[in-house]
Amino acid sequence: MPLINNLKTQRAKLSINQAELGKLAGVSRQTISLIERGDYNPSITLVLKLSKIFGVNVEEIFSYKEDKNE
Amino acid sequence: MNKKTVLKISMLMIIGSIFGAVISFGLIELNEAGAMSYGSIISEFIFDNTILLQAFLFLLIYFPAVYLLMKGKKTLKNIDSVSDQEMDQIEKIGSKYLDLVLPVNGVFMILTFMLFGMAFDNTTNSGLLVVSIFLISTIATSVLEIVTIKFVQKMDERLKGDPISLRFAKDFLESCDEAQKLRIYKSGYKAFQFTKNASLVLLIIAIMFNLTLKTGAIPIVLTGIFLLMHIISYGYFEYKNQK
Repeated sequence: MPLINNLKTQRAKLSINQAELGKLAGVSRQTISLIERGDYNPSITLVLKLSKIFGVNVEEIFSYKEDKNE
Repeated sequence: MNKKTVLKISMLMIIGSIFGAVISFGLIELNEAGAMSYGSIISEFIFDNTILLQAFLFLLIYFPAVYLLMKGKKTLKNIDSVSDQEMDQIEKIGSKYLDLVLPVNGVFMILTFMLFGMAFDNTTNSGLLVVSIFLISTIATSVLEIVTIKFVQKMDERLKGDPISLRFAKDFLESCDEAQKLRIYKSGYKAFQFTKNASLVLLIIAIMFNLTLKTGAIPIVLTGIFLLMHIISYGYFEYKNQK
């Protein structure tokens, strides 16, 4: 998957667990877990919401790496 | 279209033709052997053994569904005190049980309806008994469905919708987050494709049965109407959702 994230690191900085982050972002804990594991690509709205929660730019949480196989 | 695809389609057509010919031949043989009388024997058996068959349905389908719910509930109990990684593992196992409860319960409900449809006869004294068994089974199905949904909602408090309300499906979907919605849409599309192919096969079977066993037009009409509704409704909602 070409979308790489460091959601877990950002979450650790705020000392919150997946359930708490889910509550803040208005999604389920499972969705946060899926994003962290790279199994789900979030929508732009959710990405912006997350960057607002962490108080950082989107690029500091998510980065796009070209996948040569795709 | 490349050579490989042409070869694949040709092979499928040949296999399909052989399969169709074998089934047709088998049905003709069955007809000659008096298959319709077997049909009457089956109908009579269902009519005479409604209670026993319904008891089997409870034993083989309903109670396992209740067991799956209890197992799922037990697995997901006290999940709050564990780490995120442990929670992922526990939820994965618990969800496997819970995800099976409603489909299994649905199978029980459909078989109950079928049994009722085949066993009910208002000209005999057993009519009231058949209706009573049917009502008990329907109540049991509804209770299990409501309890399961309420538990899922308790586990994820964002999920809304009253399972007794007619607006439940709409309210529930609206309360799901984007990843949950994507999962529902993906499952819905795959189920649509599968049901379309399966009902097409059923329509062909109904035609073949009518040609060989003279089962009449009703199975063809019903399967055809189902297939039409299936395809037209998809087309309608696809058109409606265009922006």
